[in-house]
Amino acid sequence: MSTNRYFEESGLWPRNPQAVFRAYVAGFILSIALTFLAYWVATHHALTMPGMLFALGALAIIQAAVQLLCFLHMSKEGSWRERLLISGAIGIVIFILVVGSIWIMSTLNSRMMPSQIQMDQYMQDQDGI
Amino acid sequence: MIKHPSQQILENLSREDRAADRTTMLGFWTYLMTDLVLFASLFAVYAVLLTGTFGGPAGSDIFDGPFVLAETLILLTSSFTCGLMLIAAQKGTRGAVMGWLGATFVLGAAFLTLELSEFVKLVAAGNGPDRSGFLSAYFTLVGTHGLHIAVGLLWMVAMLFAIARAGLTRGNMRKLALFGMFWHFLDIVWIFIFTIVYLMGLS
Repeated sequence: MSTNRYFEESGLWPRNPQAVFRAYVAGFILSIALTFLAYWVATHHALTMPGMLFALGALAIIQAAVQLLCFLHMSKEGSWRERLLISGAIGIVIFILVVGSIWIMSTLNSRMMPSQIQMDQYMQDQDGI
Repeated sequence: MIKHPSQQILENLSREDRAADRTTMLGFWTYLMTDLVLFASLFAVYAVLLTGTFGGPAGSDIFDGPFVLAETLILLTSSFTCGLMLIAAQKGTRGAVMGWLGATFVLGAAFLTLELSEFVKLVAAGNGPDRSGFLSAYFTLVGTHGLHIAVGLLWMVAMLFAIARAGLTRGNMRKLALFGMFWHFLDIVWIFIFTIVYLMGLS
């Protein structure tokens, strides 16, 4: 059977198809390693709280980047300029959405927290429970 | 005579046809980005409702570490077999394409079965999405991802039939490429679900 160049010409793959198989294998192995590493960090409590969150977050972002590069071929091929532009625009939208939601809701939460006097009164009203 | 894309064989593609398919790929990529916005909003809701356990269980009470690790590895492997399927499609080997497509389907179905069993167990214990805000957010986020996986499974069945009937035509190749993007994207979203929901919940 002949090898066609459909995936390269339609912008799915880079211009070097031999590298694609190597990229898939490398990406697969790296992703497995990063998954186990993240799992180990989470379950062995190797780090304390803020450090653990940063480590897990970093591992997730690294694995996402690995998969974007190796599986989705987000390298300098085909229509990368358009993809980069669209990804950047959506990235801004997502940042505003996520950060904004968390900021607004936590501010709302702290503003609606009753004062200490009110909390003591509430405890009293519950007959000392 | 102009043929429908599902009947065109790859050797006869004109420049206009190839440009049209490039545009389709880019359009689908744009759709995937909007899907990412959907998941981002569900993550935001999850983050806000993390502490809303309302006397019910928190993440650490209901998440099973090894179980989720197995789910993750299964889905990761299915992403890899999907890549092997695309490589076989580029080589033009129809049998290998159907084989790898089948392998990806089996792994994806195993993932979904495990996830559904987890949901059923939670609901049976009274910890369904109606138990607390936290559980509502959890079921919605993970359930939406599972729904995407289910659609992917249906897509794979359709592709198996299409390739069995017409072979690796231009239309089928384009659809395989789009499916590949979709399936890889779902694994990337799962990385974040695995990390933010399960690993951070367990630690």
